[in-house]
Amino acid sequence: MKKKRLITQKTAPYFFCAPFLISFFLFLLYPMINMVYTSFHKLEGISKYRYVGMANYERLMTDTHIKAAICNSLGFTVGIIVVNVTLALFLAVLLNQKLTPCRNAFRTAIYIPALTSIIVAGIFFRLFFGSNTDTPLNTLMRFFGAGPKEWLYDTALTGIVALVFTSTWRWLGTNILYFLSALQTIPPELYDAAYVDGASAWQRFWHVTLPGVKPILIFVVTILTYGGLRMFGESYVLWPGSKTPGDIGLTIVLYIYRTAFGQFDMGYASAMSVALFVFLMILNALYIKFFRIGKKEG
Amino acid sequence: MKRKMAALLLSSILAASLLGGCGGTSSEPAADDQASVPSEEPVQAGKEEMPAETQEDGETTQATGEATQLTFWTYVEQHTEFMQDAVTVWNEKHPDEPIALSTETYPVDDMHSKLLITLQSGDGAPDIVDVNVARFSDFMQGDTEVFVPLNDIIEPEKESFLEPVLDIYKYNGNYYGIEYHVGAPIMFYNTEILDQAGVKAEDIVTWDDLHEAGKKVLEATGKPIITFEVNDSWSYYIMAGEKKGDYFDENGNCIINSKENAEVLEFMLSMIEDGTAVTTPGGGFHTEEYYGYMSQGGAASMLECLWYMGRFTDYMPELSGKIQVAAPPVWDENSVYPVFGGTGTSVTTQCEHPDLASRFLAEAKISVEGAEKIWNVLGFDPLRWDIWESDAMKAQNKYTDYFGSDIFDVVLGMKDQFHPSNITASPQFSLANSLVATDIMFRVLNEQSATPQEALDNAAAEIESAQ
Amino acid sequence: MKRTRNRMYQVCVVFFLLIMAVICLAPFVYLVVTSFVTDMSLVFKNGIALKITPDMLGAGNYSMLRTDDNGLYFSWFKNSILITMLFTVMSITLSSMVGYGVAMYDFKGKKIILVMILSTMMIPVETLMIPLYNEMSQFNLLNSYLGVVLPFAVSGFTIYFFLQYGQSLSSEYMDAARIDGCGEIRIFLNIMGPLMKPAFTSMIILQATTAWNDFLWPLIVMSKNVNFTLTVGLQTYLSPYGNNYNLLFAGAVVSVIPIMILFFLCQKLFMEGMIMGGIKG
Repeated sequence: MKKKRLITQKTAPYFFCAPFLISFFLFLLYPMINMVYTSFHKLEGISKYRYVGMANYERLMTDTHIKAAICNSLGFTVGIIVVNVTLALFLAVLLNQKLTPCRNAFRTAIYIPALTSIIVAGIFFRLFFGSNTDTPLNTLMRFFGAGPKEWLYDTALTGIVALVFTSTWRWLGTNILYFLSALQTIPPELYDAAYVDGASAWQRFWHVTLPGVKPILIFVVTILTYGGLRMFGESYVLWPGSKTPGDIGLTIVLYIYRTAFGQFDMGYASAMSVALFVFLMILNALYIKFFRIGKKEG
Repeated sequence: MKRKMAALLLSSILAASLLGGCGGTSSEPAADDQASVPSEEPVQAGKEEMPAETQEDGETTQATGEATQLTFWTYVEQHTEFMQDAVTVWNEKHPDEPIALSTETYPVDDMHSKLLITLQSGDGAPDIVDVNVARFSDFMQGDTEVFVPLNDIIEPEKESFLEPVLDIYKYNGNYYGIEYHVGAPIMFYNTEILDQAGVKAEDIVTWDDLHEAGKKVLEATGKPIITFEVNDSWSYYIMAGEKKGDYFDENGNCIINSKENAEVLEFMLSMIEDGTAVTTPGGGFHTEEYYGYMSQGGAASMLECLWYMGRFTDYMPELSGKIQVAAPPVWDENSVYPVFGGTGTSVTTQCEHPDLASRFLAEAKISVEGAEKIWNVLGFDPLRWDIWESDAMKAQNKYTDYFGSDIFDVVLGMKDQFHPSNITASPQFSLANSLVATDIMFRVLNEQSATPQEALDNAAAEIESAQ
Repeated sequence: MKRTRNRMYQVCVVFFLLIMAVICLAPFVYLVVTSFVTDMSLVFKNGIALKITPDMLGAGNYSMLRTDDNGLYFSWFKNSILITMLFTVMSITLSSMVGYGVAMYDFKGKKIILVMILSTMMIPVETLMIPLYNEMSQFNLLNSYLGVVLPFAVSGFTIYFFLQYGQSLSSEYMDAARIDGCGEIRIFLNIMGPLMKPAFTSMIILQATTAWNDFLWPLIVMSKNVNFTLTVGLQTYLSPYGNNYNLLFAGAVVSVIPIMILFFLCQKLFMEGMIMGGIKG
């Protein structure tokens, strides 16, 4: 077995990473460079770009819509992280207990929304959050003694609530799945040992479950952060034609999309994308530092 | 060596799936360097094998003989039927140069995005395309031509057309699109509610009359006389346009914050404040919320364009016979009626047969027969006013059943006051329109977080910074 | 004592889970029921009230779906199936390789690659559509399945999932295999890969769902009605000149069925993976 191998322990990682590198340069870096270039230009007519220097970035400073969009996106992101992590982890723990009856059925039921597209979900939620007083939601509100609301046309907060609800409905099952697959990796002996030591259910959760699912917890928080900050679909379906009244429900990417394809202002849209990207890069660096992503756990 | 076998199998699956992917994707595989896999012959792991039918043709009509292939994009399903019908007529009349039209319907926003992308990349744009009036200005800037000038087909027939409607799509002296309809501004009155308050639609001449009548209606029925859109711009655009208010003047200067525009918003706000008007449930006139609200007799009137008749017949059948169409109220004797159509059809510069496409378009939309079909098939007010009094326009259809037979008498009475809108004057028109639709109306009328002048000034500043 | 406490726990849990299940399934049930209403104007009679009575029901919408536009819906269906299969296979094969490579090896440039991977997750692809479209046009991939699949097949997200999973595996197996004279690729395929089986099953479901439900990119790459995927096609039933709710509801319901079948099939596999227990702390 002295045959010289092309792929050794040294070269193997590069071989494994090759598909990513190719895809990265071809489908990401090149379009990104294009985007940065465009951000210093203004599209005139259909294909002529005029150099405008920093004008697009200066506009970013005075734009009130982007401020509203940032608030909405941040609110939405915090909302989905809080709701999804707590609820999903809690449900995953319940669904992992041997004591819980019909675990499979519940697991399936909660996962089913994740199978639908945002377009399909949007069909329902657009009607669910409709403005008539007899919509299911407003009927429910009356039942609890609250007045009907025009959810999508009320305040920025009701808009965010509608978005978080729609989004959680679709993503909760997936996040439960992540946590479930992580819970499987915790050896049952650890629980037995903790039980023998007289640890309460809460202590067992805190000292065994939580450390056990930590990598996946970080993963979930990370994808929710990025997913939340670049959310687009939920707004797109709830406010058709991306007509967000008084910026209710306007998110950063929806605004970028609307600027790019609604007003064909490619330069400004690119400038916003670059700014968003830089912001996310900073966040990214912080995440890597604090969550120790990519380091093997000791 | 079980492991070795498994490894071999896995890598061959991988290879097969990659090759299979390439083989089926285009009629001339770009990457068939090595033993290219014919798509009919499934290799192992053949489930990800792709049939070579991704390039199949779109839906086409009677592609007989050497019919010229043309593509047509629209965002209105009914327009495809209209166009296919026009193709049948064309092929009967011109057997020597038949056309086969493949039509694609897209969601409205997505169609315009796609159109931009394909025009930019110089590849993949359709031959003929419907462009929404609010988006047309996007394609009319600088001096790169993306649409073919239609002067040759429009100018000979200009006499019979309403010039303000033709001018919507005029840019640098050329006509780049042709409308489907005039889109005459129309007031739809619910006579049942007006009767309860003893108000007659005929007596409402000015907006102040409407406001006064509104107070009577409110007192008698507790209902508002009119609803204002907060998530769309056009009913405001009509009211402002009557004062010759617009977003831009003919030279492209932003006048969105003009005195006239602010006055209109002030007036709307005053009606909202005393309850004679409400903001539309669901934000606009094209939502299920609004249809339901109106068909239950929610408000006594609405201001829209003539083509909205179709919404009444389709979504509010309960109101049949109760709706009276009338010219909208005016501000004073100098008021005009702005017209802005709705959808222009253009021939793109990527079209290989621009001449044929233009002539086809002329027959479909400009000829007398075409214009009659625009009324009878689509229920729109055609651009040719010379046929408005003809019998063809009086023939019974679902609209005359619903609204009575004198629809076009109303439009004829308004004809001389039609006024063009400066849609192509500035490439920022779509931004201005979007600001009105998503921001100004809501903030002023619904949220009431900004005064009319403030909201308009902000918009003007934003348009300025986007130049 | 312990038994009654367990009973109590079970009752509470079941009650809570039932509420969750109802919230999750109600919209779906609503879509299914409404898809059988043949006269949609009745549903929206008084705006959005969504009151449905049994006498409004019929299968009309589904036969309409079958015949509409020469069965256009079924070519969308076929496209979605093929695109989903292609995407899932490519994405899982390639992304697991990368995730594994980064997780299990220490090498020069690892940090940079990691940053690159994470950064791909954050770029709003919506903003890259125009340059990407131009690229696809140059590669002659417009209107093709590969054009839809290729740009996003190696996604940071999927890689990251495998990477995270790989980190929880012990590298002792690898060292042992190396001593046995096993090559690096064989280690991945035969030893470590199988250990990641639960990750694979999860990812099959997730990636298939992603591909099946993707909207914006297929819309831009495919420019003919017949080439649309289901999501894109469904959206064409909504128009400013009136929504075709008959086809929309029925189409939406049918569009969810295949992915559901896949889910139920995979769920079994998922459980099997668990029982076999590839991972031991």
